[in-house]
Amino acid sequence: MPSRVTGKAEPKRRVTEMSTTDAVISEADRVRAAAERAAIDASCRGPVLFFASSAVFWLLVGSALAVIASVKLHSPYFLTGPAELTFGRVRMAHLQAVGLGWTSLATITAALWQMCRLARTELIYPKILYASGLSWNTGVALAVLGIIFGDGQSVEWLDAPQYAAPFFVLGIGIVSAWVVAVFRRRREPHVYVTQWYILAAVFWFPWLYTVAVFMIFWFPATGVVQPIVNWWFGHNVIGLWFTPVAVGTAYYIIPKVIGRPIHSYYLSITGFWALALFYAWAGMHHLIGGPIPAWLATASTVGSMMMFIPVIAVGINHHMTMLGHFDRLKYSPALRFTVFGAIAYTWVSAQGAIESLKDFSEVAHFTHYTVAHAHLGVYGFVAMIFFGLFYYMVPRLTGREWASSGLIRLHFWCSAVGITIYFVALSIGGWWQGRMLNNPNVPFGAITTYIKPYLFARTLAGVLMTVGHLAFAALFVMNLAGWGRKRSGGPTYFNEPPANP
Amino acid sequence: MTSPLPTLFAAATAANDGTVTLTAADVVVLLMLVGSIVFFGGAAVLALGWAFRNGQFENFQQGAASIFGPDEPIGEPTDSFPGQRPDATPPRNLDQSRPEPDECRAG
Amino acid sequence: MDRGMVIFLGSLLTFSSSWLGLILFPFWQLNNEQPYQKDATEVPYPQPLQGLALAGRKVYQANGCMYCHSQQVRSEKFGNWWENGLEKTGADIKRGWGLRRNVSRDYIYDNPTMLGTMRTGPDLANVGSRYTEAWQHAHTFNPRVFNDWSIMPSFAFLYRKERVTGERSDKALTLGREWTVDPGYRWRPTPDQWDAILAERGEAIKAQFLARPENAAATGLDLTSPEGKRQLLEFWLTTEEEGYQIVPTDEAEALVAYLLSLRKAEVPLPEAKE
Repeated sequence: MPSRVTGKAEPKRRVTEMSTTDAVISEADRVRAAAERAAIDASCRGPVLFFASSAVFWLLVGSALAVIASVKLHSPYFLTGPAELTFGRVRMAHLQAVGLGWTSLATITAALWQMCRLARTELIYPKILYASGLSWNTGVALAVLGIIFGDGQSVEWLDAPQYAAPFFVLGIGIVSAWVVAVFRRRREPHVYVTQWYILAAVFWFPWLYTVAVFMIFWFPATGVVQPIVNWWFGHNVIGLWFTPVAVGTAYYIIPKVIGRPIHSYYLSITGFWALALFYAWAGMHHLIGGPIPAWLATASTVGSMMMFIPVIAVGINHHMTMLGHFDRLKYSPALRFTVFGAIAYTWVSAQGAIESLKDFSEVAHFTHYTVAHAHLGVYGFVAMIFFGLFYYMVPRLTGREWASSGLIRLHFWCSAVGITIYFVALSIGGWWQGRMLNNPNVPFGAITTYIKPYLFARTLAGVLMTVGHLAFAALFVMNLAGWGRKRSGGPTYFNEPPANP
Repeated sequence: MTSPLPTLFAAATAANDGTVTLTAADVVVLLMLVGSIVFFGGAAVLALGWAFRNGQFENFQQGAASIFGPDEPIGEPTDSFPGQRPDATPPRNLDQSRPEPDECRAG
Repeated sequence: MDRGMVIFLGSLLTFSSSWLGLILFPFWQLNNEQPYQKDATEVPYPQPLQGLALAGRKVYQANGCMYCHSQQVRSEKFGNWWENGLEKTGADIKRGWGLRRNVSRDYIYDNPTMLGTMRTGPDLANVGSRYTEAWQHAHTFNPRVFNDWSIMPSFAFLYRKERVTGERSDKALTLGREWTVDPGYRWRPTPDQWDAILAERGEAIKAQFLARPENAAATGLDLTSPEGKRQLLEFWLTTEEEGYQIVPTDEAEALVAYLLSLRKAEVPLPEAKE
């Protein structure tokens, strides 16, 4: 039986061009492809694991700060003595640690590894990426410590003192350049949808950051132009930096794990361009009702509503790909986290679009409802997908399986149940908080008394999530330290383990 | 720098009897808006045209299969809990009626 | 054309449309807004902050006050609530948070412009007209002095507890000992501690209690009964701690000066009429 692949002489021909009904995937092909994949993974192992470890570290720091801040809101005497731990500073530091720390570093990890994999190219000069990682980590450390010790800026997402900014610029500059360099050296002729998202994200984020820092800090704009720029930046960090890489990751992990191509590639392209066009317009919905021109708020409401298009496209795609394979969620940690995140994406985006309508915003704005929405987005969607990516990627980079199934399950359930409690408690509490705020006959004290139990529920949820993060960090450290069964046959050539205990 | 633009945006005011007077400033704003629409819309049309000519709309599913390989072919799951094998049965619902990439090529 | 170039150009065009629409256009429209001066005799509004209030804005900024307090009064057409089936709006103004809605001109000298996105606490755009300096100090020191439901942090670290040498400072906060014994917290002696204090100077405290006109009739107060002890304790906690005072640091004075300067929703502006 002639193999259609080995019969040809072109060395660069993609070895995927073969029918699945072709019973012969020759052993030689398999070994060659596995070796190629292993070489790619090995080339980016160092820097990718460096970024990944940094991400996990800041996740723990951010979780600790989160729980402290959350407790302070229902128990104001908690650690109220030192200036360094006052709620405002802890809150700002928390956001820097989880936003610029965990999430951004996970985004960079995802971008680097997947670009190498999808381009079928090894990473060049990997050592320079260590400098980028060091720079970024320094930036986050300066941000967190600077805020704690009194240099916070009170600009949402940009609270970091100005001396931290150059480190972020250097860090992302190197990463973006490297991602593009890998892309340009690609051996895989086809440009998979995940690569589109990654390329766009590493282009958009530096532009966003530079414009924001320019117009808010270096040449500060007048008055309300600052919050306008601020929310263009803040919303687009989520929508044009985190979201594309997370959605792209789901587009890679889901088909890879279940062994089935994406349901409709055409929809994925539609989704990408619709995201690119509409998301960037949505940012002003954070200022509805505020002292900004009415046309600005309206434009953002339109942009937010139009986001239904890419979100539905992505949702259909993922769902139809998974259809008939939901039982695989029992077997694969990566799939569980990723599918949870993908479902959360659809949900949080639909919620966000509705929330941007003026009637909704009138109630939900200024309340904990918005906080619930934000966390469903950056945690329920983005973080869960990146957890999925880490569970898939790390064993392939280290050549070692995860040490404990139990800890993985613990992590998953703590995170899933935690974010659900978080979201439900603060959505309900926040909604009624908003209704009461809009009723001047309700004294402010009554509103505060009302919301406290929901804030307590949020603390419980946060503690649960933190337990999950500790499990995750423990697994991560154990894997890097060499505990856990070796992946047989090399890092990416998965073989069935011997019948076992 | 004093920009004339603030006055431009404040230019069109409704008179008390409900009529609106269109000033030169309004015209500039409208031109900028229309110009932007023409520019971006035109770019989009050109891009769509390029895409059609360049064959972007043929054979979508080929791209979807590109992430697989002989070592991780379509039909084999690639992740599981440590110490377990993934359920190895081939995926159901694989669209058998869709032509495989090889069958699209002549010979 | 190379695929990479397509993605780059596409990303560039889509993104720059938003940059144009959401950044450049508003920048051109709003960046050169000037203060309003009704006529030559009036002081232009707004005025940039100076001196202590300007320093106070930095304290506000560094401690993240914006993350619980907004500074934007919304219009009287905003925000639905229903009372007896009648739809009404304008809660911000009806709560007394401002006399009118805020507009972009109110913020032209704010840097950073801390509009805020949460109302864990009330809106502060016009708080300068609502509370006195003394109130602001006591409230900042420990918000539960005035509102026991409050979840605002205590900012006792902006204050100094010092021994009184000679006269009490006229900047000292007037607070009962329950607020000053453990600054930032609310202190209460344990039952044993209270018994010990009563044993030591119970009669003196009782005399102080009776010296108050409203208590003059309670001469029968029994220091051995639980009710009597409780009544005296409640009184005693409100008396000032002997020999100590709480004084604001420079930072606290600056912060309160900033809060008193916040009168963003008072001066009538032509664009702020609905």
